[in-house]
Amino acid sequence: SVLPPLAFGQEYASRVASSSQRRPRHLSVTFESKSLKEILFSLENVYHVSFNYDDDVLRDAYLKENFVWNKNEKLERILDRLLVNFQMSYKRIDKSNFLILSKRGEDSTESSKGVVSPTVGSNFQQTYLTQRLNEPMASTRTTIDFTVSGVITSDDGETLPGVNILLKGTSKGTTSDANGRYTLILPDAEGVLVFSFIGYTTREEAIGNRSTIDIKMTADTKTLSEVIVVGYGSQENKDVTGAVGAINGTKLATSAVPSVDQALQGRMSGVYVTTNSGEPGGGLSMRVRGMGGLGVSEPLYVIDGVIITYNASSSYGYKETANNPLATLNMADIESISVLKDASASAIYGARAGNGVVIITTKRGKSGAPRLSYEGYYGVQTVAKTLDVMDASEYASYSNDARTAAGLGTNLKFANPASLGKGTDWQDAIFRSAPIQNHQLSLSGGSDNSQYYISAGYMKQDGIITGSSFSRYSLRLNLDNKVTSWLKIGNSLTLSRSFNQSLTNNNGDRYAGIVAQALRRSPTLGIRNADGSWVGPDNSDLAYVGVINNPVMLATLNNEPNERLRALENFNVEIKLHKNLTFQTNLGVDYVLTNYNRFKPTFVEGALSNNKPEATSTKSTLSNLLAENTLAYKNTFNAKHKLEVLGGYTAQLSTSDVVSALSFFQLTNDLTTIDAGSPNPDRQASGSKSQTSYVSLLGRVNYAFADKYLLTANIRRDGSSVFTSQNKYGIFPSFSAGWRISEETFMKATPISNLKLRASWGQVGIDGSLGIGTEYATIGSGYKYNFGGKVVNGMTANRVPNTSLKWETVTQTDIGIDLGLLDNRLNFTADYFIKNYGDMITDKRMPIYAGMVSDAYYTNPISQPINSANVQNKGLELALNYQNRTMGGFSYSVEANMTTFSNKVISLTDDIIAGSTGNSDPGFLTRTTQGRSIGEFYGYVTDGIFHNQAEVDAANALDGQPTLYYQSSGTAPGDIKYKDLDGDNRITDKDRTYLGSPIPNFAYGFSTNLEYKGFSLNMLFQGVHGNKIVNVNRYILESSTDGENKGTAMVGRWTDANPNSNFPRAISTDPNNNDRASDRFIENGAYLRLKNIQLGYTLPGNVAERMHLSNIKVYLSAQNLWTITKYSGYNPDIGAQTQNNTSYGIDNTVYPNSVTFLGGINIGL
Amino acid sequence: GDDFLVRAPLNQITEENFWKTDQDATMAVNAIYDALQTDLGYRLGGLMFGDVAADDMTCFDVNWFVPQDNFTVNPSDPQVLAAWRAWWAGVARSNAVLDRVPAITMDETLKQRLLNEAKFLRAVSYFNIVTIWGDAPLMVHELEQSKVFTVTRQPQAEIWAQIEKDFTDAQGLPLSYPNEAGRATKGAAMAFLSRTYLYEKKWQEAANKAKEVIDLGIYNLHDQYIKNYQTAFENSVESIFEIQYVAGTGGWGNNEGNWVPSYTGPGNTAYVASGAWGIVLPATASKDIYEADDNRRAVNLFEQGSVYNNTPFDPKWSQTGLMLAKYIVGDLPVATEGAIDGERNMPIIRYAEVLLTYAEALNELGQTTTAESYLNKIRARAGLDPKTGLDQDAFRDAVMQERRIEFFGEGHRFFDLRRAGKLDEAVRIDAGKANYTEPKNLYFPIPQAERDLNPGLEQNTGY
Repeated sequence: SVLPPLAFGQEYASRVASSSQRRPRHLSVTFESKSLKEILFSLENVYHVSFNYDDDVLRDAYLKENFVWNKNEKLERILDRLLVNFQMSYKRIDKSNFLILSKRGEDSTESSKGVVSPTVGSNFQQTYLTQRLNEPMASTRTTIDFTVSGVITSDDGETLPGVNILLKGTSKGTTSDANGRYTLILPDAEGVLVFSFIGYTTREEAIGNRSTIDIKMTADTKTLSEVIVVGYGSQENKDVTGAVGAINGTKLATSAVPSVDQALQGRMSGVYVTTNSGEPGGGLSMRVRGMGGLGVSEPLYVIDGVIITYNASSSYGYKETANNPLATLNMADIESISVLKDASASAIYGARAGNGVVIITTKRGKSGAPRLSYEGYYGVQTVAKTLDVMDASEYASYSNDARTAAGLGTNLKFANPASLGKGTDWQDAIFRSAPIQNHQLSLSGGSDNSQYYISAGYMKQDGIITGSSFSRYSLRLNLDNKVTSWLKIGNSLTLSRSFNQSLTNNNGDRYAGIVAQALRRSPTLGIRNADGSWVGPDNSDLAYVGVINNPVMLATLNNEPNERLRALENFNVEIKLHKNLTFQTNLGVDYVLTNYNRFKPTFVEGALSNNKPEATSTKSTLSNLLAENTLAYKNTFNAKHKLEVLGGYTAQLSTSDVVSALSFFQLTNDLTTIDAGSPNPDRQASGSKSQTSYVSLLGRVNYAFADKYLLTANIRRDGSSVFTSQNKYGIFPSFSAGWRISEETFMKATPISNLKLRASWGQVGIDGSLGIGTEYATIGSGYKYNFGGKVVNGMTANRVPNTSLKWETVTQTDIGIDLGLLDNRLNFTADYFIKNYGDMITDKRMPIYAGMVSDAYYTNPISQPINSANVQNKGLELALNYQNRTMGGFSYSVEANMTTFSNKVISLTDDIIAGSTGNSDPGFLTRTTQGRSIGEFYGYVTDGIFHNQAEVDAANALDGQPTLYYQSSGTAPGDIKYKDLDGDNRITDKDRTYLGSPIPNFAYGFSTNLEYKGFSLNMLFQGVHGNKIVNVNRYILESSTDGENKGTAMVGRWTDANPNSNFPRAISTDPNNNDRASDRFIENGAYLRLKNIQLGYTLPGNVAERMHLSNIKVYLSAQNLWTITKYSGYNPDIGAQTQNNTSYGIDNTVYPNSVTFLGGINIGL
Repeated sequence: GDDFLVRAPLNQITEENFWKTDQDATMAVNAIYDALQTDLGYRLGGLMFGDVAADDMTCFDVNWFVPQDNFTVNPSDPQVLAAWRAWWAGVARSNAVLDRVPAITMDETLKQRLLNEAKFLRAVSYFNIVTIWGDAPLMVHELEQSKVFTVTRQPQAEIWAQIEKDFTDAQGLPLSYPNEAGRATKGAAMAFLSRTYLYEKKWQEAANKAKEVIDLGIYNLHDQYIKNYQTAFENSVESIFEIQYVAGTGGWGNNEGNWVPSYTGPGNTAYVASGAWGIVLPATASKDIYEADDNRRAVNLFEQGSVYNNTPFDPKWSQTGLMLAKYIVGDLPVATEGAIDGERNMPIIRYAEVLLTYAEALNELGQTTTAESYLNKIRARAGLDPKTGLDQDAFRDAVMQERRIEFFGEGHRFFDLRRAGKLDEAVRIDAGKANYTEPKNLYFPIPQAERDLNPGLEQNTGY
């Protein structure tokens, strides 16, 4: 490069000074010179810009006369006036850099400095910055040795802006401009150029003395160079040694569903998504790699860098399903989702990563012309399935039988059952066709230095049961700005309002939920009277039809709105300290306001009424503040040693603050506020507040040798307020290694295009069960006594602290293989993992002589949380994808994945009994014990039905004691016979056993994508195999008791005339307890479902152009179109309403799922 | 930094911010009294261990005290567990006060009083523990976490020594509380101490201490036996220590009321306002223990011919034809009392007991003649002729008989029989409870759940 003489600047400065003195003060300062270089130099100084040019070309560029300009002129105008004299032009590269183009129209510089891609090629910028710092005067002037330029297009002929071009093995590079053009000035005509662009196969091209190299990039959805978002950074797929599942927003968008997690179902190996409720806005359970440990095993969510701390357990009350952290996110905003599955990938999140980490990244703007697009769909949902229940005449006949058998009187109205006809179909009465719609408008674009992505979304889903709905308004503003060559700032902001009108007790209550009421309500009752009032049982009916409210009335009067306002913000600053060293700060805020109201209205329906209206209002505030600072170093030594080092320091503070009020006796059902209720003392208030904090150090080293041998080590040291003082800091390390066998020379001749072996080991934590303030001995009040006839308060310790309690530790080992064939058109990934949940927290009962009781009632013994149990998960994950394109333009892809489950409780002191059917007699349904998997179903084993009295007598006679009965004194023909497992010839508690597991043997999904001339067809199938479900619906529909409707199966119940039935007799009192938890209600939960099918058509480019649109796509889509299953309930896709593993797979008459048909359109301007 | 990571619960009081003021100290002491009044503490525990398990009372309700009644009680018995819970809560809460209150800056007089109350209440708790279960873990400080699962039972003698020591110290308590009747007093400590000596057969000490109580001059017998069970005379001249109950604080759970009327009374609402269940009943034979003209019979028993609240007693209300009257008969039923939410206090130690303790101890010391006058004070009040000229053995029997009637249904009988070595005779032979065996049934079983947690806690012989 050529240095201008130092004297030049001094001389110039004096000249400017003298010239300005000659001018009148009110005029602008003007400048004059003949030398182009000199003029450019003065412009640089005045406008604080840099010009890049070939020193040789400009050396002799002089004007005949002085060129005069002044400071008030626009720089561009000056340049226009100036350069026209030399037949030159200029190009602005960014805010402060210009290229001076020579007569030939070619770049007159070494390169177009400064366009920095967020992911690759930013080293170039670094070089530039360093030069600026070292050589402030001379940095922009260099000699040209060789210039290469060209146009980059995609395989369908469109030009591609923003492609990274790099001279291999150096930091020299550039990116293509808005027209796909690039120019690169190189020291010589040798070398290889590397063209890379996200979503396209990276290409390498030898220069070979060519000055023009046009490149066609091939799109690739799954390339080795695909950039995967990992914790605190990103990595190219080929370099990843951990187990990371990634999916991009485009693929997710082929499922037009309201929430991200729904779109993930069946998409990814190792990610098992189940539905807790079909209610709009309802929650899902996600399990990463096996079922996990005891309790809740939901993964950690990280959205745009913010670690989300809002979860079910931090919510107030029972509305946990609405607390799906993803329900507030607009699907269309999602750029990618990464699931960190093994310890290597997740250890960087330390104490909270034990159940896996889900990283969600939203879309960001790209430089180029503004792109305005609209995406929308509208659809109709209907209930996927209804259950067969008795009609009025069948029920009346059943009721008569049941009551007669119990020696009770029958309903006179039921004297002639046949005359009652069909009656009311209550399921039909509560289910409806419900619309779903979604609209999203987004605007993105930007200059080379600043990009924006702005979107507004509206989603509204009415529930298939009257009275339920979910809506979401969302606004997103993602900004990126390169302030200077070394400073970038970015901002991600989501504002959302979700609004849930949820049904009273829709879940988990076999008695009170609306679905349960619809199943139970007698078909002999109507819906409304002629005058519009609600029909209910009269007093004479009550004994025969039970106290079961009119479900249509409940749904209609339902008033349980839950509004959630959320601001999720991440502000990001990135500073290039050195070409290899980047400092980054993230400041994140997640602020969630929840406004939950419930109004229990007054009503009258026949003899049933409520005259005590009740309003609840709960306001909860969650604030989650996060500050993260990281320093990243990246370098390549001797072209073979690639090293990346990351270090960071983070702090987080979450505060939850909840206030709730309750009042009664509102005057009308329209006045639902607290202050509309009667005054004190009928008002109650409650609330809670808690804080948790984290301070963490994190580090990562990635080392690659010759792109073949890869090593990664992660570590995080977490300190947290939920950790006890004796274990205030936890260290979570992981190590992984990869061998890219396909890079070895001996592999070059094989058809294998990619082969990588991976292995990892690490430890991560789970802190969710620690609770708040475990180490504090708390003092309870309410231990009252009386002195002098007056009650006084007493206070005493009510908790045994555990000052050594620590997080649960998950130790995971993973071995994986990635295989690519046919130029990576066929990819196969397999992973085997062993995941041990150690130190799981259980409650250890304390001896009573230690003197504490937890409550003022002296009934609950005190427990101390201790680290004791151990649960092992093992599994195999397989993923396969194949894509190809025929010569005729038909392209297709197939993806398939499968995950196996193996879960075993290695050690557990006291069995955990859980999984109630609600407030019902059968009681607990699951038992977790050492040596088995978590939450296995537990109960009696049926042995058919006593067909006749002889069989009953034979059973009673087994033990030879005439006064003792086999089952019960009331056992009679038509009752269920249970197996005597302990051989004492009687049925006792000891005859219960394990009846199967809700955990599948494997879950799988496969999808296809076919495209031909603008048409596309996407299908997603998904299923599970080997799991069991407790069908609690059948506790209603197939029990022997009356007072509620029954399933049609019970039409064929045992009677004297039908002694060979498999269904028990009708008897109101059920003396045999046919309803007890038994294998009778446990069903095969396997299913295969066509989860989503979408047929789309993208209009040809010229047609769109004529409409002044850049693209337009229309599609028709259907969800849950068909399901193959033996399960007899509404929906075999059953998670856990409490998200707790100990009560999985219990279908407590939950809100059924729907079949959705919809049509959508995507328009780009 | 570390401070950022320290977040105490925001909605609960923790040890760190408790134990700061006199109010904290007072409330911590209040909570000890609360332990005493719980279900199988002094609320029903006296009836269960002292009366049902002896020959005076019986129970037919299998959900309640049948195993205590017929000596099928086993280590899983929920009632025994509930009693265990009550008394150990008393010990632990007392220990917390005794460990923590000294460091509080507060009025020294009040502090000393609260500490003495805690000592008194710890001694009361241990008194019940040692009499029900025998050997016991001896804990005079808050239990360290590291020792929770390793404590062992110490010999009774060590427990008794600690009880003596605590009651001795508690003699520093005030004689009375003008506005807070029910707190432990100097007299209560002295009376309990004399009872302790009596149980230990330290006759001289027992006599001395009883005489000291008598010489305080502040206690006397009511003119009528029934006044001990009338709300109007609660905490008055004969009362030395009683458990305080008030009505109208709720139903089941932590109410502040006395459940005993509900457990002993009939379903007839003229007797107990909301109807009672007659779970604990006087044994059939217990109507035969009275001398003619004993005016305590009408207070102790509802039987054929009894009339209460203008309603004749129907013997069919009870499987034994009898019901315990004393917790009902003193006052008319109060309509506002819930089914289990009674108003009346439970007498724990009365002046009558001090007199009989003095008489018993003097007799054992060979001063039978002196002892006679104290026994006869009780008999006189009962409307009975004095007993004179008895020899030592006969006098011993007379005291035992007098205690049986005087404290009928007040939780003494089982322990008095055991002290006298007459449990087998009274319970197995006379009352016909065939399951009764010694030494097994001299004490009650240690709850199995506790031994599961700490196998070092040895079980009583025979269980």
